[in-house]
Amino acid sequence: MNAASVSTVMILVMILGIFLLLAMNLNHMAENILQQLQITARLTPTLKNEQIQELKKKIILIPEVSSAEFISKDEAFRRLQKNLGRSISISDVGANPLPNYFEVSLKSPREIELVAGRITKLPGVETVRYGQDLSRKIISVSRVVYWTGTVFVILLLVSTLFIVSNTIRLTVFARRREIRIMQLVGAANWFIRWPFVIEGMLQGLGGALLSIFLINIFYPFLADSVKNAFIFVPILPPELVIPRLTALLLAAGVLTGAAGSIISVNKFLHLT
Amino acid sequence: MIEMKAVSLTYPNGAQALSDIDVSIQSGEFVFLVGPTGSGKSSFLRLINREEIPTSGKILVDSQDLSILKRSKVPFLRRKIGVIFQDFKLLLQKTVYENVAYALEVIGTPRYEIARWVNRTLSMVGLGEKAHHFPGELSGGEQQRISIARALVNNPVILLADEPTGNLDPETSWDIMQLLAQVNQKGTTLLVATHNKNIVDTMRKRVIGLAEGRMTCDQEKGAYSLAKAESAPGECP
Repeated sequence: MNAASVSTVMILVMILGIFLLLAMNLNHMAENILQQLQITARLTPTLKNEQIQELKKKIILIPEVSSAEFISKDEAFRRLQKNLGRSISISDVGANPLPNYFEVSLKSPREIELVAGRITKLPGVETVRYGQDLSRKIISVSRVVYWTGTVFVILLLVSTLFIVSNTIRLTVFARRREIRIMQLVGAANWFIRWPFVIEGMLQGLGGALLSIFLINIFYPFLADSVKNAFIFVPILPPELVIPRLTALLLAAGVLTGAAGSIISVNKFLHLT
Repeated sequence: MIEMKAVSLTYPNGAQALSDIDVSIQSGEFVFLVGPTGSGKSSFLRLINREEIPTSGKILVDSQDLSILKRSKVPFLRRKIGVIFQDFKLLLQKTVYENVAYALEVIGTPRYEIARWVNRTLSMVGLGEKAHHFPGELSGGEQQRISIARALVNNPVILLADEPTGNLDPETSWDIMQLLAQVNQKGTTLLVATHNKNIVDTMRKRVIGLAEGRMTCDQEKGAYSLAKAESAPGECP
């Protein structure tokens, strides 16, 4: 075991962990906002009751839709009154100017644009409104976060791979005499390889465990203080994130450790 | 046992190690490979062990075509071939016994068989008494005996020796050659690359001469002096 290598792997895995936490939280926030978006579908005033029921069925049949609530023009007016504090009545405006409409909620809010488009095409729907600008912005931001995140994660994994493979290369070099003899007497390649692979995996594991330990200490603390400072920011609770993060980081550490040492040993075995 | 047909070997740096070698060595033969430094003797041996792959031509070892042998099968080829070197290549932190046992351990031999084989081989090479010494405590000749024991413990059909006496005094060299001759007597095909004129001339075995990567001579009961570079290829004066 090499302390320098393990601690470097620890730092890399920790950056990876911090980054994943950030990405998960941003994603969580985006979902949170998107979840609250609804589509408002105004209906043509001439629609009869049966036609409205028919339309509701059609909307519910769209796979991304979770529910569609019918709001009659009277109900709409009542809501308006409530919002304005009962300061108006129908007599003030002559007749109820509001339309009948559906409030459509979605299972997958990222598909809001697509669903809105479909609803617009249904007969009996006059116009459709949803948080168009907001949802577009959130979706494009989360796309950027996703792709930069992916690139960043790949870079971190590659660096971890290099660190481990470099350390293992030194170990291999130190044992080159034994390896040479093993090759000469006909030891199978896997037999020569496995001790190094295990060493690489242990280095990855060691680095990952240390970083998981540190994240376990700091994240709950951080989540707590964010929650206290900004009540409206939906931060992921530690008990929800940490198990998943632990599994991810362990896998990342162990697998890159194994891959790094396999690269080094293979290079050496094929050279001699 | 060993067949080379029009074998050439060029190293990646462009150096031509061997050109157009045609040779056939029967099972149980004793062959000296002679020639000056850089004439291709080591490359010749490395081809048989499949440490090198010929650039062109074909090699058969124990009826296996090495140019199409899969990398994963190479260890099994090497279990049939023992190798010894001028510098012995021993593990100095292991005892004599452990050095020899190592060759069996790494190919997965059961422990009880290891003890039996190692002890038998060590007494054959005359090191039965010194099994628990470290190589550093022994003389050069004894160290070469360890490496011979390690090469033989696995019962190979071919034994390759690359300058086995290069680091030894004349008397010890003779002991080692006698030991190798004994091994050959028991049926192991033996290839010895050497500079040692005295030994080659006295033992009168088959001699293959190499110079600048070409075979200059191949003669039964040959002698070093007959295998010089000046002689015409294929025939010895």
